[in-house]
Amino acid sequence: MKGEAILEAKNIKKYFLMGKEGIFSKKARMIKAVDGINFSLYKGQTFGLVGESGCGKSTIGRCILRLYRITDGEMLFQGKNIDIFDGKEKMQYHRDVQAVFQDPYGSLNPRMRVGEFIEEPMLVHGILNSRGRRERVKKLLEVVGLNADQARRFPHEFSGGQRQRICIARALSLNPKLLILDEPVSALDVSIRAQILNLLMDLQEEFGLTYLFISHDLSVVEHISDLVAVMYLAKIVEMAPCERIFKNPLHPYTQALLSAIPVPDPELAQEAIILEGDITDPITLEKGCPFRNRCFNASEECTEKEPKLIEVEPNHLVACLKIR
Amino acid sequence: MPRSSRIWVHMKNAPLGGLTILFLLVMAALFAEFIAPHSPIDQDITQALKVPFFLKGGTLSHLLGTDELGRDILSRIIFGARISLVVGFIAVAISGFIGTCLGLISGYFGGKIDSIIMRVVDVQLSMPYILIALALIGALGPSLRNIIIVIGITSWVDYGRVIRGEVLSVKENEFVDLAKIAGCSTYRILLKHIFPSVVNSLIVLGTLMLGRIIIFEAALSFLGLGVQPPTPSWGIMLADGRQYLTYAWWLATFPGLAIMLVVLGTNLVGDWLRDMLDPRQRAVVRGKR
Amino acid sequence: MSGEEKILEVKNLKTYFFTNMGVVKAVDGGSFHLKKGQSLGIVGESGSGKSVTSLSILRLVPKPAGRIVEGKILYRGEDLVKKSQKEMRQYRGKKLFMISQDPMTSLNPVFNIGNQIGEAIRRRQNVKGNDLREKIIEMLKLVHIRSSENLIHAYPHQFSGGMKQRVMISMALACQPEILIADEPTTALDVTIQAQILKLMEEIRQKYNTSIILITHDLGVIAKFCEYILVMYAGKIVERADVKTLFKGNKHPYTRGLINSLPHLGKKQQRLSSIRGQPPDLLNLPAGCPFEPRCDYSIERCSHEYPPTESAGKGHLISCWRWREI
Repeated sequence: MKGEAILEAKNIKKYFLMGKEGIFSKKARMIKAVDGINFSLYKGQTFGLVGESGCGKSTIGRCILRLYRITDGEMLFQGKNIDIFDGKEKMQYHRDVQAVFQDPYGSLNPRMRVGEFIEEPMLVHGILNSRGRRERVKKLLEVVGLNADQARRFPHEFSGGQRQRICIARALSLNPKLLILDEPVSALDVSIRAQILNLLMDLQEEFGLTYLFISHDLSVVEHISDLVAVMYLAKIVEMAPCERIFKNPLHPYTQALLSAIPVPDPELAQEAIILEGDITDPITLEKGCPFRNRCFNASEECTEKEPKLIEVEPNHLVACLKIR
Repeated sequence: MPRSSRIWVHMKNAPLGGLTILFLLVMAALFAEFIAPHSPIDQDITQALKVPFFLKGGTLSHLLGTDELGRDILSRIIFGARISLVVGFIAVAISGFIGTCLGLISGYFGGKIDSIIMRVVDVQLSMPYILIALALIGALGPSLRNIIIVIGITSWVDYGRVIRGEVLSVKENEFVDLAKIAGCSTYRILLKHIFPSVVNSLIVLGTLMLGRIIIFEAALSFLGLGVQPPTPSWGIMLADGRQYLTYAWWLATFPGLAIMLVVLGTNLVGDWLRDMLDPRQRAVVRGKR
Repeated sequence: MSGEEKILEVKNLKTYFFTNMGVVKAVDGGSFHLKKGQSLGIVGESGSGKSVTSLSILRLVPKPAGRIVEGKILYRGEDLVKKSQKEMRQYRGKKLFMISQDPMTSLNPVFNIGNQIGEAIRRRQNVKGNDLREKIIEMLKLVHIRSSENLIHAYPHQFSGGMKQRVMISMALACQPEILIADEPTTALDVTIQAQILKLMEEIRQKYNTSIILITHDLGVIAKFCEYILVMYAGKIVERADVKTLFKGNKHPYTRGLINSLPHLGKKQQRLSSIRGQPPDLLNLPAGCPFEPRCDYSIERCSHEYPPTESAGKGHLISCWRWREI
């Protein structure tokens, strides 16, 4: 099942400094958005990254895209450390790794015709000549299910779902190897989500793309992913192939998460595991397991030791002291 | 909703009064030589202090009366429009250019550059602009060219702050991130992504600033720091007419009215442009999900 | 659970928006009723009119563009459409309460939580001082917030989304409304917090026999929480039924398409079935059935005549020319 790993994340950490205490700052507050993450993305596969707000999943996406510089760790793309790219390697990386973001209204420049918008990456990299690019834009529009003659229109003439298609067309324009999809359907109408998800899956098959699919919506993630990792407060708490995690979740947080999702089937009356409290303020973390104050299994040792992500079954990793 | 009909809707609400005033202003400035009944600088003491035509004793040859040197008020106002417009447009262009560049840099890069530029803005705003103008004119000497420079340099701060604010919100949009990951250079991002989104504010601010700058010019000329006589400027006319206010009120009142009408016109047009160019005014109901 | 007493009856409600671009028929002839203690769900996507329906009931339709042009909203026999804004204030915040998606805009940022809950309490009873404080603590306890001095004096921005919603619910409880309208109350919240809030709302419904109208686009939430459901599309109620019938025996192409297009947790499919086309453009609705351009069952008649509402028995009503065949 596993092909080659095109991206390897090794012990990635991203900390943000939040403001200073004063002119004579004693200690600027540090937010640990990502705190020691390890995973690999395999060619042609979809890696689903799930978690709730503040868990750090979007931050990882941005680190991979080089929008943020990682604080620590190594991010290797096809074996090379992306942090130390020179100019040429940087441009090549942009050709290899693209993204589609959540908000279809903020993702398109309202003053640019959509044809120009899709063409831009090619223009910047000096690919093809003007006519060649225009031809390719037409083809890309068709590939994503839009009309080729809509290239001259402006974004406001399109609906949310159509805008996402335009974003996908742009992302494909440079023939990337890896696509970072950050909540690509969360802002769309429910009836449109299925269209876009089907499109993404078709494109993956046709072009041999690798996806990092970031979302909080577990049912969507289950549908599209091969491997899934669950994040909580800057760490991965469980990671396994898709069917494993959904059929047999081991980490208490994953169990709670799965049980809390309302399934559109009134006959499956599930009793949700209700987690008390809110997600902890990431700044006040000290030692021990970050989930301990909400965990229904927590005990004394959970406040002392921090669990490491270990393989408890073949290919199934969990970070919990109670699970060995 | 096709774009053309959207524009048509806004055309229906166009402020005809404001547009007419601005149209007249531009016409007066361009064709003064052909429109004005007399030369603005010809003196004729025998015709001094003639009343406007609608008062007893007025004649049609001097519709708005004459000043103390017998110069026709109407003609001087028409030629004065040229001064106001020239100063207005060029000064708006200068301050707009400086303000936009600094606002873009300040807003986009943030950090130290932003702090420095904003400190300069704060310092400049804390000094009364008249004093700055006085000092600069004192150093450079009063002339048309110099007040354009002075006004341009002091007025950029309004642009700077507004543009910076716009840039701060525009750069949060995902399309800016998408431009970065496509490999766009910073220059390209500023030019093709950030700047077009702030152009609207620029235009609106421009029309509003036009009015203020015309007043600024009038004030400086009033103080004798601007254009020098005999060139007719509305400001100078105000200054000269001040002493005659009690018995020859038309010397100062008509130029004052001219200033007021032009500022009113620019404000009305500026408001209308802002509504028209604001994408949120598109009035398509997008239901809440 | 819910009695047979109808406390709210909406009859042929039409709320239109008159804009520069044309008339938007946000709600176009909606009729339904709400029983005491019942949980009613209104599900729809953008442009369906579900939010405008709730605003209409509370007479909070944004003026001057929006107006209720026709219809009756009978609350215990009183027609709310005919009330003035002054009279409506006797209903809002007392008998009718609304919780919306973004509690940030519902809670006043310059007053602390204690103040706001206290104000809600004082609308119903005249309590002051220590009695008031005790009531506030009691209200917070009902929503599982452990109060302390600090908390009561805290300001909304210091709270998380989930806590803010709980504060809103406690304010609703303080008012002891008969009808609670919740417009996307959990959309902005994380799934685990959503579960808390939904459980809380259900507790309230059971305990105080409050009727709840839940408005959302999330079919999972609807399935879990609501007894009876209205499905809206482009301003029209296209199908309505009790929750079981709606999910298992639906007869409108839109309802069916919508439910079928959802990825089901635990059932991985190869390809999701989807509804083709785009969401409706309310300024350019076709004559006839608004769903026709996207419908796989449409016939000639659908494009010029809007179907009548017919019953399939037991409170199951559909507006479709071909529902019998579906």
